[in-house]
Amino acid sequence: MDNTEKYLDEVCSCIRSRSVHSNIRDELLSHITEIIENGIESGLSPEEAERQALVRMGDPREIGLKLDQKHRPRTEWPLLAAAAVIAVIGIAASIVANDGVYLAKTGFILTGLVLMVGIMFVNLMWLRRFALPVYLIFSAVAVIFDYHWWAWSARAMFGVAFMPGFIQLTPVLFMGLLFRRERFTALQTAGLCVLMALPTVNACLGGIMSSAVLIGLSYIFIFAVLSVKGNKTARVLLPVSVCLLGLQVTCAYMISPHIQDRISAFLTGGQSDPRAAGWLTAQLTALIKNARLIGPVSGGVPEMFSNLMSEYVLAGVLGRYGWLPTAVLLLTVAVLLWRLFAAAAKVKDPCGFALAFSASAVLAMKFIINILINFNLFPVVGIGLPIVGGGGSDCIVSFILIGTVLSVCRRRDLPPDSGPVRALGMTFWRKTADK
Amino acid sequence: MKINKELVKGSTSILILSLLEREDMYGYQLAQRLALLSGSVFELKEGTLYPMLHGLENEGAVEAYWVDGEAGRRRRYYRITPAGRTLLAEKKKEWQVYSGAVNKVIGFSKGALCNGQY
Repeated sequence: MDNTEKYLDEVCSCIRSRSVHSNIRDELLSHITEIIENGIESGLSPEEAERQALVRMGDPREIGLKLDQKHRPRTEWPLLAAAAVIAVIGIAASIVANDGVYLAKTGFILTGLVLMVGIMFVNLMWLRRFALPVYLIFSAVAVIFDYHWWAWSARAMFGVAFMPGFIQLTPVLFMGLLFRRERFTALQTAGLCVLMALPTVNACLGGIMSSAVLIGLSYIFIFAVLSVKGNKTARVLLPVSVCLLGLQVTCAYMISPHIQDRISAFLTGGQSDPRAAGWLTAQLTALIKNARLIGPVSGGVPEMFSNLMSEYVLAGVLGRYGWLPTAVLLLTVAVLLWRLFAAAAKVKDPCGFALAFSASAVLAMKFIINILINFNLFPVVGIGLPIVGGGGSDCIVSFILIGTVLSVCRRRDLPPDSGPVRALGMTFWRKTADK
Repeated sequence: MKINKELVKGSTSILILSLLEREDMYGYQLAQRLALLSGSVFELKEGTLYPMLHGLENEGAVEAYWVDGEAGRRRRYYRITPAGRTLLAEKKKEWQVYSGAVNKVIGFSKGALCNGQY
């Protein structure tokens, strides 16, 4: 069987993605073995049977090169380009705003870009294996970071906060939990519901309603799509996530008076309290009414919107430059979101799709909520336009989300679970079978 | 009769999908069946089936699963997906139009020549 081994080695030497080698070897070996066995049965010597089998298989290099084409990592260039364009807009906005933090902002954007590209080269499918510990550690870190003084001092020093930003990654981590098993018992499903509620409860306790609402809305969107795709657990979790969001909003409404004010301001177009809670809403209404097609709004841009680093970067662009540049910015965002979902849709592995889709959904939700706020179509919550108008942690989280999509899409033609995971010089696990 | 390699190449995926439409099969079985049903007209190198199968798998037209057989033998079976069935229906239609057109042209020129029109 030496020649068979040599044959398989030659096929694999042409295939650059090592993770598919063991699967392909096994498959070709089983084929060659059957031909040899049939040959021996019909009276050939083992050597002659092997020789004939390898001739029947064909040129190993040709097959290897063809298989390499089918199993190479894919780079989503359009998505990378769209992310780069948004990054440039973000840097430009902070320079134009000229409020002294553009260096820090540029630093965050560049760090985010590096992280994004770094994540692209990491196989994220191990999340499914280590979903529970990763999720629990992440939730614990969220608690510690929110309630400990040193977290606040770190925030002051580096401008990076865990809670409002990084907690937005939980829906993506949750997908790892969701795909740990094919079926969950009733008790396990109940456990999943508790785990799902954990970070949002945490966010509510920490007073970070905006992230809680963002996560809640994202979960509803994600589970709705997964349900349509036939995921049974998602069908159970969809109504639970709707209830969870309802609960969050009710709690927030009852606990925080300023949220009541904001919601009444939103419902009355700012008229309920035009000098305080409704002030922003009233200013936005006036801005939208008076903005020109191109050029600054007559009467000057209200102070609140002149700063291009705030949640109101869109209103700022509208006030400073007019509708046309605003439309261009919105179009760029639309292209980015389109590329995100288009990339996620190409992933056939259900867990990979859920990871890519959930990352896209969270980012899309951030963009959409902020855009709606800027046009007075959503109550005021603290969610900035990702990358362009957000803070440091928001920026990094947004790039991590894009990196997640890039990473999953990169491996969409590779088997999700095959091949060993090597880390710290050890091989952790190896799964050779698809099912 | 030996068929031109290029001619076979374009139509292999329709052949694979048609065979898988009837039942799930593994590579060796597929190669045997292909040779049997076509009367050995499509004598392609059996190894070249795999790039095609994996390509169809990437497109979502087929999905694969391993089955452990007797004597420690493992076989990777391929199953056609709903998307694969749609693709096959399209390809069949395409093939009908194409082969119909080729037949027409061949038949037409033959007939025309016989009638002495050209």
